[in-house]
Amino acid sequence: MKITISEFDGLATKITLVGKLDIAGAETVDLPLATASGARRNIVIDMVGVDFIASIGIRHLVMAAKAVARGAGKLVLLDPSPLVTDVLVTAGLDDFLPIVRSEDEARAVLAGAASA
Amino acid sequence: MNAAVETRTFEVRSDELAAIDSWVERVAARWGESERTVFRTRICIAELAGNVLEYGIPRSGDDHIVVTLRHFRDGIGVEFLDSCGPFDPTGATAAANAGTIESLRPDGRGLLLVRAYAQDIAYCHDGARNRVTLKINSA
Repeated sequence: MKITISEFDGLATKITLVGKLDIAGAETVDLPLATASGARRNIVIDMVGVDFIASIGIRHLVMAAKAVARGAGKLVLLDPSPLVTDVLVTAGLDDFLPIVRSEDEARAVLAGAASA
Repeated sequence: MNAAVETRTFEVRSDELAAIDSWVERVAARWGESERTVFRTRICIAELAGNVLEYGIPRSGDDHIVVTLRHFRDGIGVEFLDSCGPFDPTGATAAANAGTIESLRPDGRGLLLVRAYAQDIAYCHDGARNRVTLKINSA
C-alpha cells in the first residue's frame, strides 16, 4: 500500500491510497490516517488505486470518519472501483462515508458539510 | 464430473496473508470465474484468515491454515481449516446498521461481508482444527 498526503483546495486533507487495503495495507495507513483525522478537518481519500479492501481496512476508514465527524467534518471516498464500492456498500458504510465519483462532487459534499 | 480441487497449507503469520490472497486469486481466475466471483472469494478467505490472526488462540509454534478450493459448475466451494484453539467466526456478532456516524461500529464488518458474499456457511471443530466451509456462487 502506497500513501500520499496532499492538500485538497484548502477544503480538506487528501489522502491517496494505492494497493491493497488488507492487514498489511491497514498497518501502513494506520498512523497517517489517525494523524490526519486527529486534526478533525475534512478528509478526501482517493480510492482509485485501491484494488482490494478487507474489513480491517474498513475499520480504519470508520475510525477516521468518526474522528473527523467529532469536529463536524466529513470523510469522503473518491472513486473506488466497482468491486471495492460493492464492499463498502455491503458493509453499510455509504450512508456515513460519502462515495463520490469526481473531485467536483467531493467539493460539493464538503461545501454542504461546511454550510450545514 | 468431479469438481477441480486445489489445496494449499500456509503458516499462521500476518505476512502469509498476501500469499494466501495471491494463491486464491490465481486459482479462481484460472478456473475462468468472473472478476466479481474471484473478488468475493478473496474477500471471504481474507476475512477468515484475518480472524485467525486476530482471534486465534495459538496451540503450538507450527499452527497452520489449510485452504481448499473446489470449482463447481455454479461457483467456488471453500474449506478453511486452522489449527488454533476452537473459535467459531460464524458465531460472532456482525455489525448492526447504525443510525448515526457516532453509533457506527468500526468492527464486525468482516462477518457482514462473508454472510453477504457466501452461502452455506458452516463451522465445526473436529477436535484438532477449526473448519469453516462456504460457497461463493458464480456472479
